[in-house]
Amino acid sequence: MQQIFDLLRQWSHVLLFVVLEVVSGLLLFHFNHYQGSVYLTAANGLAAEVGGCYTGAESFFRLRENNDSLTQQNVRLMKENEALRQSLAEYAHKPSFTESTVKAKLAAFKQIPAVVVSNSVNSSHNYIVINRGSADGVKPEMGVVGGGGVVGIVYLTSRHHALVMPLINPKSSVSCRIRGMEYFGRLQWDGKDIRSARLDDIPRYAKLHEGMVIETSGYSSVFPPGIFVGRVTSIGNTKDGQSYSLGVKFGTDFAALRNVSILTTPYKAEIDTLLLHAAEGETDKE
Amino acid sequence: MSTRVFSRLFLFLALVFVQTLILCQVRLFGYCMPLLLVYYLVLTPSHQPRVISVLEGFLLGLCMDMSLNTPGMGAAAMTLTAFVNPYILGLTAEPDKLEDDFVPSSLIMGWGSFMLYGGMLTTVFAVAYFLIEWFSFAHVQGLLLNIFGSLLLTLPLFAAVELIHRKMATTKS
Repeated sequence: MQQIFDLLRQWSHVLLFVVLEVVSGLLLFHFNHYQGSVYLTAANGLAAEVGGCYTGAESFFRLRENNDSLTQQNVRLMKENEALRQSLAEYAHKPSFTESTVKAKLAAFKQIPAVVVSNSVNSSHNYIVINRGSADGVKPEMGVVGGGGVVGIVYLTSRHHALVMPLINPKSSVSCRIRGMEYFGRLQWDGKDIRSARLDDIPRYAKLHEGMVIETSGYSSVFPPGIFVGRVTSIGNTKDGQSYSLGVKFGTDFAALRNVSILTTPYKAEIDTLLLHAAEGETDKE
Repeated sequence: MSTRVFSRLFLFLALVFVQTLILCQVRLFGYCMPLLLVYYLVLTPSHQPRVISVLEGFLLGLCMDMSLNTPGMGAAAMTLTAFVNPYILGLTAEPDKLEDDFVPSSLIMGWGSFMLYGGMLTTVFAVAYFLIEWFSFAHVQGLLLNIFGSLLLTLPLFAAVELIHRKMATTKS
């Protein structure tokens, strides 16, 4: 304590000098307008400068946080933008005659809209993955149609996705007929061109010409009758020469497939039951 | 001791009287003001407690401010001058003299050292005072005219007063 007092006594003149200068400064800035205003302006400027520096430093240290936030916002906006663009494209899209006809034919059926999330067209066994699965009521062997007509048949389902076997898969076989005639055959893809397939077993006495419309026959529980498939582009003979083999150009462009609908056939269960009974009856007779 | 106190009190009153009533009204060429009040600090005894010196400086400045209606201006400058006074005396007086308690004068220090000491002290005061008065470096020319003009006007006054003071001292002795 004594040392502190000694120290204060030793530097008392400095302490007094500082105190008196402060008092003089207060008097100066309080009673002299010019010096007061200059001081105030300078003090305000200094305060603003210090504030600016502080804000700048604070902003700098928050850059990482802001960057993360901006990235998140950017991703969200990009997603939103994509969704809006798709919606706009859907609204702006003018349906073709085929699309309108297919829609009209399917009006009585319950449809589940879906979007293609994966698509292959270059393989010999092509498959399509759509974003609807068993949770949405999609089951195997349901028909899938698009704006251009028939797309394929649901092959496998998971909870939220389904694998569709398109017409451009050699395993696919859809019963089709010629519009205006009752002749029907099986449409099969030969693995060559993704825009066309062959319709065999058309009797030779049928009067055919190129451009005729091929549509679903309705002889299966998968597709209702009359759904557009494609048009006849060539007329040829089968290998055995007993019937015609027609070249058919698909209405669906598989390389640019986006929005599709899954058809939930209401009578499929009934038809399957009847077919099962019929099969059982046949075995009993044997 | 008391004689010295009385004589310093008399000097204080006399210088304040002359400075405030006469010299503060003088502004030669608009720039030069005689700063005779600093003479009181020049005559500060070398061993006077520094606290008292600083306090004296503040009071001197305050008296000048009251006359000029510039509160704080003279007080700040004169307090600073009183604070640096011992250092300037240390620079100008001969080292062996500093050990004794003496009142600076031309008799003890010689005219050259005494005028240098007075000139340096006046310069410190003038720089501080006019800097506070201008409160800006925008008009350096005016500021320098103030400082050097006042210094040139003050130094002959110092010499004159010192001469009178010296004569009075020699007559007494």
